Amino acid sequence: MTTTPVGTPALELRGVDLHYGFVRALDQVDIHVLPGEVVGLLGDNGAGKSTLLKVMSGAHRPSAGTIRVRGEAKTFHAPSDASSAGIQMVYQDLALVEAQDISINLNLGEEKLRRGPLGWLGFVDRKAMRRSSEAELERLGVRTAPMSRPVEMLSGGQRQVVALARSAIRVNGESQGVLLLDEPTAALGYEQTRNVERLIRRMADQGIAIIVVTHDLPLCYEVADRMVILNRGKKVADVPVAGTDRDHVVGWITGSRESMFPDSAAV
Amino acid sequence: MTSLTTPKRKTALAAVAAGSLMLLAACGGNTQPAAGADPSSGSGSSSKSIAFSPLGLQIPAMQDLSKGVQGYGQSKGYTVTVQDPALDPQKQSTDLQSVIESGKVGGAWVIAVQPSALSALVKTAQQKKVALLLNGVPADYGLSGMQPGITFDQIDYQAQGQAAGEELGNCINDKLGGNAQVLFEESSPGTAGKDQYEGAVKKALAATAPGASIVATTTVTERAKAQTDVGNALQGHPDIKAVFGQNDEGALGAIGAFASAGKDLPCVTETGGNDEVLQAVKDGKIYAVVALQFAEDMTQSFDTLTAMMADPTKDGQQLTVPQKVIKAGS
Amino acid sequence: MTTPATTPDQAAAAASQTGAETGAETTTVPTGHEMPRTITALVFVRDRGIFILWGLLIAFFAFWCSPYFFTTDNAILVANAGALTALFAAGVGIGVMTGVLDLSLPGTAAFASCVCGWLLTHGASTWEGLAAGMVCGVVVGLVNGFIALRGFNPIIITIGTLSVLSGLAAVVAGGYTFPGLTQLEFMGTHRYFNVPAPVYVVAVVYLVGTVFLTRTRDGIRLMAVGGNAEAVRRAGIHSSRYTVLGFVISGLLAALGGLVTTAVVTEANPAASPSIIFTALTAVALAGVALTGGRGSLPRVLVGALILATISNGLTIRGIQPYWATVVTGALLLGSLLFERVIQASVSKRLMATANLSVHQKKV
Repeated sequence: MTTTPVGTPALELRGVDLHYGFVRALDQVDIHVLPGEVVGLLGDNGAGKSTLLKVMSGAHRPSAGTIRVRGEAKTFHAPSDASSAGIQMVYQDLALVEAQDISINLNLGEEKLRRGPLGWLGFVDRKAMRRSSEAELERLGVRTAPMSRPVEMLSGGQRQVVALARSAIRVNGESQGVLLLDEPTAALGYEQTRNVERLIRRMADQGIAIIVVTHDLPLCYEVADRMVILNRGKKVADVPVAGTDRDHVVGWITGSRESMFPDSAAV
Repeated sequence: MTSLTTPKRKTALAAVAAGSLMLLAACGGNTQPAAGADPSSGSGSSSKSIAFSPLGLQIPAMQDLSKGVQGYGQSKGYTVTVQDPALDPQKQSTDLQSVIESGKVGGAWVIAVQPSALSALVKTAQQKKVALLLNGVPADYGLSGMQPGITFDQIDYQAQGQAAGEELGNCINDKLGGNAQVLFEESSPGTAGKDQYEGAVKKALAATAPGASIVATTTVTERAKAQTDVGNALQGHPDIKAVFGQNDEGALGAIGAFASAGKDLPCVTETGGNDEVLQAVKDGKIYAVVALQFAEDMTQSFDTLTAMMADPTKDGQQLTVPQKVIKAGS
Repeated sequence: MTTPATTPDQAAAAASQTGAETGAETTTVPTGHEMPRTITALVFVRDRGIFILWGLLIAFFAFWCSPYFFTTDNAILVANAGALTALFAAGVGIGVMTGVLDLSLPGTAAFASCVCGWLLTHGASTWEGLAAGMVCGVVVGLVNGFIALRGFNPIIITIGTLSVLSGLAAVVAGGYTFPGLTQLEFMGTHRYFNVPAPVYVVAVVYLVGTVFLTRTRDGIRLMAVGGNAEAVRRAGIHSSRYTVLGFVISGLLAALGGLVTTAVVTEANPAASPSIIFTALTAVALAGVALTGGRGSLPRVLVGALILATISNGLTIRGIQPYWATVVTGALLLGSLLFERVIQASVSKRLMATANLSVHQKKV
């Protein structure tokens, strides 16, 4: 929707297989996302979307295939490897610490210590944390409850935004990181969904590569530049959002439409 | 894991609740020397062998007693096997059954955790002609009157209470001119002999020092809590000058509480007598302690048991644990 | 992509969509910085309710037990009486807040005090004895923690270690106790400016604890692990370290509690008293610390312990049977649970109505 991203993909998977015994959860899947691009990952239940996300986030090792981050080949032994490579995932359960306030959640893992001897003892500078959190959220164009509000007092939409912002902040440490979003609007109402859409676009504008797993076709059409569709572990379509017929997309998802990649065998 | 923890947790619980109270009130008088039975007319094959099963070895006084009994038994030519019921009545019964039924012992000295749990055991022992020395009175075991081969050793709660109450009255008369406000430390409900004991204390106190009045009551479970509770009671009645301490924990706790509040406590009596208490008596902090005489009772009980083992058909006796009043200078 | 606008926010959204396409600014949206008064009031009552409760109890007893209750002397007595419970409550409380329910407290207390007692009766200096006791607490915490990391249920683990420790304490004490430990009196019944030592110990523990949990990085992370260990892990923090830390703090405070108890009665006793856990948990529950972890405040736990001591003190002064203290405490506990539920529901309802959020497009 803004500039057309070009160049080395921020994240690229080639020929990824994942077997559970005889079950092929993923079959020769290729997927890539460029910096600043938003890719929607679609498919019916059991198509392999979550599995693919797990491979990308380092939670599962693929049985075969390569992963390249900014052109460099990488192997992820654990999710921490993926995070060090600049890939952040936002899970459906959000993983927020409810009893703590927004600024603590945003700074978790990188708390700012006070200067001087107090800092050596481990005292945190809450004012500085709040200020920096506010600045980060401002940069992302988010205005919500004050930084000192406990997360448990936020609505679902507010929490989703905090979780997204937190990942964005972490990713911005690396240049052009990758964000993986798992059903970010599943539990949200109409208005809150629009807010999340805007935030996703905003993050993409800042150069972050984003892959969004979702069932929500309208969401895809709102935020994504491209759509990748899986069916039974195989990639059946990889199309730009603009100009693609919704009916075709539905057809690929349900399997009534033939795969774009006939070599990957029948649907 | 539960089966492992239950007896142990019960042990911990019982050690606290029963430790001080049961120990002194119940086991005080039940030091029964394991009588080494004479081998001559023994009922069982190993008739110079005696089983000793006292409440639970986590209680220091029971440990002391076990060592004493073993030593005394050895000197008389008997082997004493010490069992540890760990305050579990089922365990006590089972452990004893196994040595009695197999004929491994000729006599058993039992300080029962729960006398009513041993009635079956008593019958077995009588059948096998194994002599028994039991704490309490026949009624505790569902029996009436003296039985062949069984001697009972009871604590005279009444006598204990009377002595403790009398001495408290004496102290009040001597040091406080006959008038005093008294704090009465009770034992927990269900403690053996509670009513007899405490009733006797109050009666004797009233008789000896009519000017004394009990103005506050607390319940003793353990020393630290006793110290706190007495402190609280003292707040409500700042002129208390005499305390009936119930047992060692209660008395020591009271002394601590008064010391902490910076107040004098001229009169304390109780039943018990561990080392710290005896020292306190010497130092004048406790006026009198009614101590059950374990050593004396042990020899009396042991000898009775061995005599019974010689002839298990004869009716047994009712013994009483001797008690002694210990005061400074005695 | 235009949709019919039905609410002002949606109108703003629609406007901003078209605005973005033509490069115009957004319209204003509510910022959500104001919390309605009622919510603030309700949260205040929920968080500070226990202080109010304590105040009410004090007022009640002051009248009912006058003139004995409302005196400095009695206040000091109550503080002293509550001190031991407060120490154990701090251990249990911090444990629960950090996601750890440590039931081995009485065992640790008994073991630490017996080790100290043994050392003191065998010629060691007071500081050596105390240090050894505290080290016991740390060791127990480490053991509990590492076993918990293997994935076993912490409740079962700590019950197990409780048994082990009670037994070990008895072994150390050789079946007896260690009386006559008068060298510990300085931290037992001795008074400094008319206030007994344990009160000072409690004050220091709670001060340090509160500052640690709310203002230091490790303390905050500890609470976070208690609230949502998974979230902390995903932030790249080793949450298992903090679980062990929780156990260590709990063990340390248990040992301290045992040592102070010993100092107060000048006797080290291996009998692990399970009632310690009961009163400590009651104080913690009164303070509204959720057993699920992650939330709670130490000052409230302190007030919980003080409430228990106040009730016991007031009723004893009036000569009422001690069983009534337990009845009253239990009733208060149930009442406070109900109270908290009511407030919480009320707050949630009102919050939903006020949730404010906006994400706006910038000029491109």
